[in-house]
Parts: sequence; structure tokens; C-alpha cells
Amino acid sequence: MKRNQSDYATRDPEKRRLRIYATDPMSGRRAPYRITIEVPNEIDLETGPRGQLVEVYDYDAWNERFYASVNLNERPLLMEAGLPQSESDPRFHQQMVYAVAMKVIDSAVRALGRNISLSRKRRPLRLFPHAFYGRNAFFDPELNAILFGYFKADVNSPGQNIPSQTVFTCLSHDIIAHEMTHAIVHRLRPYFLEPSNVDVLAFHEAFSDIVALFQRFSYRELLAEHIQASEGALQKSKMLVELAQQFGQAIGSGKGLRSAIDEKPHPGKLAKTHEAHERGAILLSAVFAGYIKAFQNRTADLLRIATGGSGELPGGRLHPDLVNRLSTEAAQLSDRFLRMCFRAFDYMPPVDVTFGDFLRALVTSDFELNPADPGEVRFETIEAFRERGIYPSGVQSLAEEALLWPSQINGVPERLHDHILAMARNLLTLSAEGLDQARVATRHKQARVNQAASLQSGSLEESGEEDAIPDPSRPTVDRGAMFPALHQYALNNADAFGLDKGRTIAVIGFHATHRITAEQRLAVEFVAQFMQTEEPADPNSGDLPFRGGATVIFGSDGTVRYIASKPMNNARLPKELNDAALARRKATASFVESMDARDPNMAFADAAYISNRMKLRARFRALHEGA
Amino acid sequence: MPGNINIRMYNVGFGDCFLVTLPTSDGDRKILIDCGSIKKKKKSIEDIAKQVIKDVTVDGKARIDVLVLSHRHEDHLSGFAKKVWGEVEVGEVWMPWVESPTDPAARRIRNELAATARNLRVAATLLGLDENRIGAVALNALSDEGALGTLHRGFKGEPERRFFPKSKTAVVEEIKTPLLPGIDIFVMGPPHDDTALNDPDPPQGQSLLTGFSANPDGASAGEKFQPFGEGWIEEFPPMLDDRQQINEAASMVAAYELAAAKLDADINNTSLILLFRIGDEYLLFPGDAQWGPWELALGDAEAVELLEKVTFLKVSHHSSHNGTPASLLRDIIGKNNAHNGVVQAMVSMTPKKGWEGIPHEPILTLLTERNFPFCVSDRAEDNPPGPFVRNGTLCYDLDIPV
Repeated sequence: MKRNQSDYATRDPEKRRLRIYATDPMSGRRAPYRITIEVPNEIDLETGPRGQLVEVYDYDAWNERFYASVNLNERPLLMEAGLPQSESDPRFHQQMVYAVAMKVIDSAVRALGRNISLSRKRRPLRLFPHAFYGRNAFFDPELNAILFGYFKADVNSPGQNIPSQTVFTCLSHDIIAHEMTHAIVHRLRPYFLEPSNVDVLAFHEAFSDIVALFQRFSYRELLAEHIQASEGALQKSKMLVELAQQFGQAIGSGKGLRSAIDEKPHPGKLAKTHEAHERGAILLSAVFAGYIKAFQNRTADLLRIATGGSGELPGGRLHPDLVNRLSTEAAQLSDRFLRMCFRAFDYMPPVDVTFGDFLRALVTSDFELNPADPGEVRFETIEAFRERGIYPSGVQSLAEEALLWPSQINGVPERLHDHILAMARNLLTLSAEGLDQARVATRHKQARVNQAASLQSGSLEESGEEDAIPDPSRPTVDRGAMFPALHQYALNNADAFGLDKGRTIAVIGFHATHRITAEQRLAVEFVAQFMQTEEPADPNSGDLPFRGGATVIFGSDGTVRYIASKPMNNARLPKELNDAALARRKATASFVESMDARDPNMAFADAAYISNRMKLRARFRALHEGA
Repeated sequence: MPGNINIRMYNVGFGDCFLVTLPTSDGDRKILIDCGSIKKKKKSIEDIAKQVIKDVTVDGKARIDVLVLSHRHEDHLSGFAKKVWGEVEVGEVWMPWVESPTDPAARRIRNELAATARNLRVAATLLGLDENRIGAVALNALSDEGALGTLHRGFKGEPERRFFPKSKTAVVEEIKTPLLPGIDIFVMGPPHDDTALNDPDPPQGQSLLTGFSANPDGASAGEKFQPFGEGWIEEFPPMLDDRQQINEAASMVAAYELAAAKLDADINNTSLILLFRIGDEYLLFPGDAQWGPWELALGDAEAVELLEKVTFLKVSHHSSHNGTPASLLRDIIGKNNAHNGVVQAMVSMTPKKGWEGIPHEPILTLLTERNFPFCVSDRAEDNPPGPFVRNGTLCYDLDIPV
């Protein structure tokens, strides 16, 4: 074989470079805010851009027309990292939406340790950068699409925009990242759009903000600029901590849409805050406060070295080396937070999530990978949650071991039976191959067909949609055998998982994960999600069905390591678990009542609205602050 | 001062108009609360207004001692647009604090609500939703300068204009007037508290409607804005098999409807909530107050103590779900009153397209369950329940001996 035919010499690029606004066009007037990022290279990317993960359609429903779309595989664009930043060229808008969307997916995949597919009915998630005129952008689960609006800035108080300037939500990095995260969260936990308690939708919003924020921290140029400007105090940089600034200023508020900083955390505020975005902002600030504290812990030594031991920085510009080191620390830490937050999903209950559950999932997932907690990241995060009144119900204390999900809640659950374990291991292989395929595919063009197949193979879902045609040359997992086996297992262990033996148990997901711990060990886990639903739904609760369920995490040998349970009340359960189930029921009822009291739609509500109101209230397209 | 309290509910259709006659040591005193309608029943609001004036005319002289505007919605206000009011002598005019022409906070709230109503109107037109709830709410909310002018500057006798409550913090404020001797008056709203008024900064409805404000660049409101020039239009677009559903989602009708509902509720929450005590009778007129002010009142011991003494209730907001919190009706109102917990109630309403949640039947059911006698302006029963007397198609009367 000739050297120029070797694998090394013939591989396609793994990454594609694309230009974007680091925040939005408002700040993008300055050069440091026009950046180039790397996203996974989809070789067969079509005009649109339309790839295998997302497709951009520039259809404007307000004007009922399409705009010319970009082909990122055109040679000049390949050479120049795409089109230059521009507000007036819709093709750049398409490019930016695509680039940020791919970046967020990439972050999620790296953190989760498995591929995710955002397809429904074999159709990738669709992005409409100019879908309508209006101050909003939203993810629509029914259409499996994200619709971005455009609007004119406020006439009287446009902030740093000019009056009536056109603001494109699809040019806001944070809005794209936020909406993409909604789509990913919905894929990972489809029942988190059922607002069964006050935290559920707020969690959706908070998580989307968290990802948008930490995503931004991964852009080194931007970080360095702000570390210099804020003299090392990241939290003082408005540019870094305020989300969607142009969008926020354009409505006359004079500030970003939401800030990651709350000046004075107050544990009582949570109880008084009901609106999903506002409540979500409390969770966002808790996570971010944990980040800032951990950043200070990690960089205290650097500052002492740089200041001859005092740790007090003199006025004036920081030494570029110090800025460089601080940026590295900030970026690494934000990467750890981003991973920690995404990974927490494997440890989240399948339904009825609360902020407290998220804290437990965070702690558990990070404990698995960083048991020693260098830099006290977990400690600071737990503290920040406590200061904002966020703690899980039913834990003894906020000590780490109390926050870890238990491995037993009601007797010892069985180990996964060998025949399930065999299938699960098969799934693990597929999942690992899936991750590898993305790499291989860029190397060997003939392997491309497998790229799509690999997306879905790491997990099995209830919806049963196989997004790609199975490749006969690869091993598969027989869904027909796997689900009944898991179902039987769940029935046998219903008591141990806090579920009701007398009720149907749905297996809504099963997947394998593999990650590398801080000590460079390989961590393999299987995650199963079981769910139970009470039928018919209570009409008083807006026909929101009462659900229970459990996410069960197994070690590679099939033993149960963690149980994140939402118990279903029944006579077989011990009082404590049964009470927890009844408490959830009560929480749902009181949340419905409080939503009813606050919902101005009630005066206009017809019977159809009344009977379906809880689900309608959770539709992003109807929410004001949808972004 | 033995005599009868008389409460007269005019059948205005969708709106409010209440005339209250109170016996005092100085003779009968008359209080008019609201006069407006956005959907007439039998008589137009002009006819009702004339009738009211006739009803307050004694010896050829029309006089109202206290005239109250609960809030500025057209369905509580429209009747005052007529010139006939220039002949009526009024002692005092009471309005919610947000109507004060001199209070900067009041001006800010009025400006925001007015801007929202205007923008909503533009949005409704551009989106082709004039016939929808959005258009109706915008119309109801657009300032009726003629009628407001009457309240601020009209009537005979140069009545003093008073704006309540004055206190920025107290939930219950007692007010005095020499015109109503021997009667205690308590104000429980509208609060000055922004959260209770649902008035975040900027108001939510307003922010969604950014971009629908009047265009300084001369583009007319009827024109659809286009973000890119004709040169960018794709002539050979890709197929979208669900284009109809995309269009529907992109229209954001639900979001604009919610913004409209929000605006409606925000204005309702500026309602003056008045409680009159005469003898052992406590008469509660909450205007159209919705959840925000009620939540404050229900959390205040003094307010709850007064609510427990109530003997008569004008059901808020034409008996919508949020006009009367279930807990108020179930557990609090009238609990310690002079009639063994029985409260008499009046509901002014007729069904109107758009406001499908009115009446909210469970509220009427709850009134029935609690054995509260009540009458509904719209239901022209020949034999109204309990103590109510129907006066043709014009009104219902309730006499309460003191």
C-alpha cells in the first residue's frame, strides 16, 4: 500500500470550523465576539444546512416564503470557516444556528458517554431560523422543531440596539443553546413536560439556561477577554453572566433576559416563586454560584503565586500568563460542570422531577467519577443549593452520603438476570461502537452509512422508533426479547423500587453508559427507567395523569447501585414510601390549584382548555418568555 | 336610623352597574358603582345610564353622593361617555390609586397597560385575529378617554376626586367621608405591590408585543415586516409536508391569547375593592379583582377578619374562576357574620364570545352548596330565589333591613 493511501493520509476531517457570534450581533460589533468554533464534521452535509443530526429549513411562516440557503460544503466556505458574521445575510443565520446546535449536541454526547438522536419518525430535529415575526423562540415537541422569531427592538428603550432595529433570535448564541437543550432534555426525559409539580417546567428552563451559560464558557477567547476586563472576578463580568443580552435589552429592560447571578441568595425566595423561568433562574444561580466558588478555590493558589503570597491583585491589567492560566482553569471547570449536569440525567427519576432530585443526581453522578472531589466542587455546589433553599425531601442531612441515591429503599433488589445482562452487554458494545463510528466515519468514507445507524443504537426507548434502518452486518439487540425481560424483572422487584405490583409497569428506556473516571478507570453502567401511570387521569388535575416510576442504575455485573424512585402508593409499601407517594399526589393537586388561580386564561377557558389545561400550560409555544 | 339598604343590579349584559342606597342619620345616601357594558342585553348602556339618573333623581334633582369607578375596563366604564352626566350632581368620585393623574407610579402603570393594549390591537390586526379574544380584550382595554374624562372632570357640583388606597403597604385601609355618616368604609385593593398587580418590569404582555409598537419609520401597521430583501427569496424551496402545522405553531396564537388574558387580568387587578359597614351589615364590592389582590388579602389577618363578617357579596369579575378564590368562598367569607354565615350575592354577567370561562359554573355551584342566596343578572327568572326582586328586564333589587 502506498503511504498516501494509509489511514492517516486519507482520513476526512473530524471537525468543521464555522464562524459565529459568541453572544449576539449587539456585542458582535466588537472583534473578540466574532469567533470560530469547531463542530463535528458531517461529511454529507447538504444545503440548508441539513445533516443527520439537525436540519435547517429557512421557511418564514409569517411571510410564507423560503430564503436562499447555504451549502457549507462549498469550497470557499470550507476554506474560510463558513460565511463571515452578518446580520443581513440569512445564510449566515442558518450557519450559526447549525453550528451552535451541533456544538450543544456534541457537549451532550461527550458528557453522556453515548450518542443521542433528536430524530422523531426518522426525521432529524428541524431548525427554522426565521419562522415568524415576534419576540419569541421555542422548541415544539410535536413538530420536533425549533422555531426562531425576529422582531423590531423597542422604539423608546432599545438598549444598545438602535430603535426598531431588527433583532434575530436565531443570532443569539444563548437562545439557540437554550432551545437546543430543551430538545435534548425532552429526548432524555419526555415526561418532564408534564408539570406535575412546581419544579418540573422550571427545571426544563433552568437546565437549558445552565447549558447555554457553560457552553459560552467553553469559548477561550471570550473568557480571556473577560477575565482580563474583570480582573479575575468572573462573576463581575455582565457579559459572561447575563443571558441573551440583545434580546433582553431590545425589549426595554436594559439588561439581559436572565442573569446567572443573584446578589443576595435567600432561602425563602424559592417558596414564593412560581413562574417557571423565574423559578428556574434560582436553580441556575445555585449551579453558577457553585461554579464561582469552585473557581475561586481552584485559582487561589495561582493568585497567591502571582502576587507574592498576598492573593490581593494590584490594580491595572493582569499579566497575560495569569490570564491564560485563569482562562484554562475557568474553561476546564465549566467543562466539568457541563458534564456533571448532563450526566446527572442518567440519575434522574423518569417523572415528577424536583430541584432536589437534580441535586441528588448531580452529586451521585459526580461522585462516581470524582470521588475525591478535588477543588470541593460538590461541596460548594451543595452549599449554593442550600443557600437558596433547595434541598431534597426525605434526606437526613446535606452530607454527601445522604445525598447519594440509595441502592436500597425497600429490601434488596435482584441482580439483573444473566440473559438480560447478556443483551445489555450487547447494547454496551453497540453503544461503544456508536461513539467510535462517529470517528471512524470521517476516516473511511465507506463507513458513512453506519453513522446514522450508530446514533440510535446506544439506547432503547419506549417509543420504539428505530431512526435508521438496521445494518444487517452489525449485531443488534432484540427489542422483542429485551423489553419483556426487563418488564418481568421490574414486576419481580416492584416493591424494591417503590412501585405498585398490582399495576402495569412500562419500561420506558434502557441504555448503557461508559465513562472514564478521574482515576482513569472505565466506569460502565446500565440505566433502566420504569414508569407506572394511574388511569384514568383526575379531571381536577387538568387531566394530568398521576405517575410513579424509578430510574435504576446497575453496575456492569448487574447489581443495583442506585435507585431514583418516585414511589407509587400501594398497601404493600412501608409507610414511609407510601407517604412519599401520597405527598407527591398532594403536591400535584396543590400545584394545579395554584396554576389555576394564577392563570389569566381561566376567564376565557372553554371546556377543551379546562380538560387539557395542564398540558397546554406546558407548551413552549404558548409561553411568553419562551426563550 | 332604621330603614332599608337597597342594592340594585342593573341588567347591563356583560358589565357592571350597581346602585346602592344606604339609610343614614341624614337620610338616604346613594352610591353608584360602575356603569358599563360591552354586550348589551335588553337595554343599551345609554338607556341604563338614563335609568340610573332617573333612579337617583329626587324632587327633580339628580344626585349621587359617592360615585365609584372600580377599574377602567370598558365594561365598567362605557356608560359614563354620555353627556347626560353633566346634569348629575356628585358628592365625591372614588377611583383606584392607579387612576391618580399626579402619582408617577400610577402613570407608569397606566402607560404600560395602555401601550400593551395598543400593541395588542396592532398585533391582532396584523395576525388577522381581530375577531378573536385578542381583538376583544384589546378593545375592552383601550382607554375610553370620553368616559374617563367624565369621571375626572365631569358631573355637577365639582366633586372631589379621591384615589384609594393611599397606603402603600397596609392591606386594609379605612377611609372616611362626611357624605356617609355612620358608615365605615374599608379599602382592600388595589395593592401598590407590583407582584400582586402582576406587574413585572417590563410587563410580560408588553415584552411579547415588542415589535408591534407604532413604527417611527412610517411603516403602516397593516404591513407585514420583511426581514430580508426580495433578492433572498428561494425560488426552488425544499418540501415541507407539515407546512400547515408549522404555520399554525408559528402564528403563536396561543401566546398572544395568553398575553391578552394577562392584560385583561392586570387591569382587573387594579380594581378598587370596597367594603361598606352599616350596622351589622358588611357589603363587599370587589370590582373585577382577580388572584393577585385576593392572595394578599387572604394572607392578612385583618382583611380575613373583615371578610369573615361579610353579609353581601358582589361576585367579582362576572363569576370568573379567578375572580373568587375557592378558599375564600369555601372557608372564609361570611363565616362570622351577623346572619349565621349566610351571604347574599349578586352576579352581573351574560355569556360573551371570547370569555368562555364566564360564568365559571363551579363558583355558582359552590354558592348553591353553601346555601348562599344569589341572583344572576342574565337569568330573568320570574321568581328569583330568596330575597331578590326582579324589576322587569331592567334590574334586580335586594332590600336589607338595618
